[in-house]
Formats: sequence, structure tokens, C-alpha cells
Amino acid sequence: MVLCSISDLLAQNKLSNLKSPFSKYEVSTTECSKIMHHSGSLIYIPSNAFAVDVSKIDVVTLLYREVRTPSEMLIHNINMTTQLMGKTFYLESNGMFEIYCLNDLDTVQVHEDRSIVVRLALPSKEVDVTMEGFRYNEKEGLWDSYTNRIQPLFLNDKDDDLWGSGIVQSNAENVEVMEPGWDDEWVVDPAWARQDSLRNLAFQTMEIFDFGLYNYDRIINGEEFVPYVPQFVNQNNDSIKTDVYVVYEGLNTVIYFNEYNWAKDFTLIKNRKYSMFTVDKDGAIFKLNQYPELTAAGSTLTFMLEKKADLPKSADELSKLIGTR
Amino acid sequence: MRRGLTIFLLTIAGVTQAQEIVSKVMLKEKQNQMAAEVPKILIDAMSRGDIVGYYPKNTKIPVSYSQFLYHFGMTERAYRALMQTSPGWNCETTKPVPIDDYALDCMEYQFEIVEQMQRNNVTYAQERKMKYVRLIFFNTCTLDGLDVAGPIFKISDIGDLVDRRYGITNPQNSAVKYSVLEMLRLKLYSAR
Repeated sequence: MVLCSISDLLAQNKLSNLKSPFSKYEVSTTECSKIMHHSGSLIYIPSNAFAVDVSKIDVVTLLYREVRTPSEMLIHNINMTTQLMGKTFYLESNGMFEIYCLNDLDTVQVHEDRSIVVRLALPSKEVDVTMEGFRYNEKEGLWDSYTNRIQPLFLNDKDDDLWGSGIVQSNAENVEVMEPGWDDEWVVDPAWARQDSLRNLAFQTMEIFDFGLYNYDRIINGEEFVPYVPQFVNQNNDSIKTDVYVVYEGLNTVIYFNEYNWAKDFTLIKNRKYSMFTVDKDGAIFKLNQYPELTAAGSTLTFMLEKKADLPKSADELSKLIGTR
Repeated sequence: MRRGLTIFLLTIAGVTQAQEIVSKVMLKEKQNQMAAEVPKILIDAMSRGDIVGYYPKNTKIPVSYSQFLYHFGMTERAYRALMQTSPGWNCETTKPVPIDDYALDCMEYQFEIVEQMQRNNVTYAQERKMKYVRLIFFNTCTLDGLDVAGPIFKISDIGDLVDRRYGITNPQNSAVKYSVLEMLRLKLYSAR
């Protein structure tokens, strides 16, 4: 169970206003459906996929959204840890999706004999075959290992040797034109920009049997976590009691520390650039500007987090403020 | 002398280096009217997942239909085919992504039949055994004017294409349909 102070809850409430809304898709309870989300991600729903009385309910509403960046993880209050053999490990994400189903206001489950396949779209260069599937445990506030059956689907630019030629430059001027109606069988999110989304896209797949929040990620290993005893103060030298967040360059994650655990659990990854910040009860962002010298492991360090800005208006604005993508 | 040395080297390299004999089937020739249907049939079967294609330079590595489309410049169709790959269940409405007409036309000039010399275990005589069909993207369609090797299809896999949709109509008698394997085995084509 993750402990939170009152000020953290207030800060979280402020940030929760920035949560991305769910996209809503009306889907048949009896027929197959294929949905293309505006990110390019694909959702495959088999016939009779939902635990409802199909003689009475024809259509249900699928709710779907994605969480991809550290600032979005923070806004959605997602703790990026998992437990393994009684130890806590940090996770790095390659994208998450959250999916639920409603019949009016009632939640609907996946039918016990069915499964839904989600293919999360991502740029080809971000495909990572070491990613595994995790499911968020809301009660414990951490990720449970779910599956290692993550299939990456992408078009390979590096198979010229196997063909004996480079990608063929054809004489055709319009070899690309597709016949009208090619996407008739898809429920396409109107916000999906076809031309942009199709290029350099790959998919990582996950099969789910229950609705919830899922993550394509992996345990961060190969890094040296150096323990310190931290003190957090603002520019007036007042102690900071709100959660402190650390984001590392090149790692798609956000690491949380709160006043109940930072005395014994605080670590920084050796030789990796980081940014550190907190969010006060009004949603204002306080950020580390003067980085202390990282002395010997176990030493006491003071981090001064200075006010950077008031409550941001969007996840992108928050990303810019905290210096992440 | 050099040829004798080559055969000797092939022999000591073992069966994995068996000598290959490549025959070209020119599909615009009148006598190859039936064979001209082969590229379209194989590509159609590949698009439906009914046959596996392999890379021309490594016949042990399968190439996906979407990767094939991508390599031959049909990027949008390639992504569409990637989307259509079955996630483990079949929806009745799933439609295969057809190859572009122009690209198909470029594949319908010729294909190659690759045979290997093998020793007959009974007679101990050397004999030719058909191993696979290699599609060719014809040189008039490429900017550099060179033929480009397309996917290969193993004869053993071609034998599994028994669905009527993959039949080749006999131009002499439209009531008769041959499978691709029958057409090849009966040598109802001219090759050089």
C-alpha cells in the first residue's frame, strides 16, 4: 500500500484535471470489431466478447486511453514499481493502455471464453523485444507481472541482405493508392490522421482477459542505484513534505519518493542525468536547479527545489517544465 | 578443370550445398498462358496466410506478406497488411490486402523454378528435384533496369494449395482446373 500525505492527495487532485480523457467506442456485443485509436493503436474484439446478455444488449461502450510519457504517468498517479521475491524494482515503460467497458453506467467484463487483443502503436525505432506485460494493481499501487507474450509487429528496414536488394524503387507513380473503402471494417477514431500515422509505425501486442491498466515495460536493470539520505527544501529553506519525483534521461519512467520512505529508500542512478521536482498542494511545480555533488553512497544530500511554475495546463506543458519528452 | 573442382567442392560440402538448377519461365509467351497465373495465385495465397513465402537469399527464413509489400514499395498496403494479421482469432469480415495492380503486373513477366540435383536412393542415379518457385520483379519496372528477386515458395508448401480458388484454368478446356503443383509436375509450361 502506498502511503500519501494530505498535501500529496491535494496535489494529485490538481494534476488529475490534466488526465487525458477516455476515447469512447460503441461496439457490438455479438460481432467482431476492430478499432483504430487516434494514436494508430489497434483493438481487436471478437464476437460475443462481453459478459452481457446479448439478447438484451446489442451495443456496449468501450473506453480506451493511453499513457506514454513520465508526465502522463505522474498525472495519472501511476507508480512505476513492481515486487519480485519481496524486493521492489523500478520499471521503464514502452507505453500503457487503459481499457474498460460500460453498458450505460454498469461496468462490463470480458466474457470468460474470450480475449481482446490490443496492439499499441509506437515508432519503429522504439520497438524493444525485451518488453513484458504488466497489469496495474490499483489496491497496492504497483505493477503485477502479467505476461511475457508481447509480440512486436513492425516492418523491417534491415532485411536487404535477405532479399539481395534494397527496397525496390519502382517506375510506378501511384503504386501506393489504395482502393476506396479499404478501412470499411474498422471503427476509426476521427482524430486518427491516416497519412501521418501509417508511416514508421510498429505495434506491440498484448492479449487481455480482463479490463484494466496494462503496461509494456521492463524492469530497470544494469543500472547502479546509489543510496543517499536526502533532505528536500524550497528556496526559503523550508522542508518539503510533498512527494518528490525523479525522471532520468533516456529512461521512460518516473520514480516517486515520499516522506515515509525517502529516508531509507532514496536512491539515484549513477552516471545518468536526472531531473527532480515536486508538486505542491496548489499544483505548482518546484524543480531542482542546483544539482548537489553526488558524494559517497549513504551520505546526506540537500536538494533545493525552487518554484518553476504554477499548475500547468496540459501534460505537454508539464513535460516541458520538468524537462522530459 | 575449374568445373571439376567446383563439383568436387560441392560434393565435400555435403547435401546442404546441393547443386541448383534455375529455369526461367517467361510468362508473356503464349505457351505459358497457364503458368502466367502462378504469381497471382501465390501472392494471393500469401496474403490470406495460406502459404508461407521465404526470403530469396535465405530459404529458411519466412518473410511476412506485409514485409514483402514493403520491400516492393507498397508502404501503405504493407502497414494495412500488418494491421490485418490475425491476432489469434478470425473475424468473418477480415479482408486480405491485395497487391497493387502495377506491382502484380511486374511480377507476371517471369518466375524461376529452382531444382536441385539429388541422388535417387533406389537407383543411385542423379536426378533433378523441384525445390521451389522464385518470383521475379521484372527489370522493365525498376528504375535501375535490373530484375529483383521476389519471395520464394517451397514446392512442398505449394502442394497444400488445394482450394479451388487457387486452381489454374486449362485454356483448352475451361471446365478443367489444375492445381499449381499439378501444373508444375506435369510441366505444362516452357522454361529455359
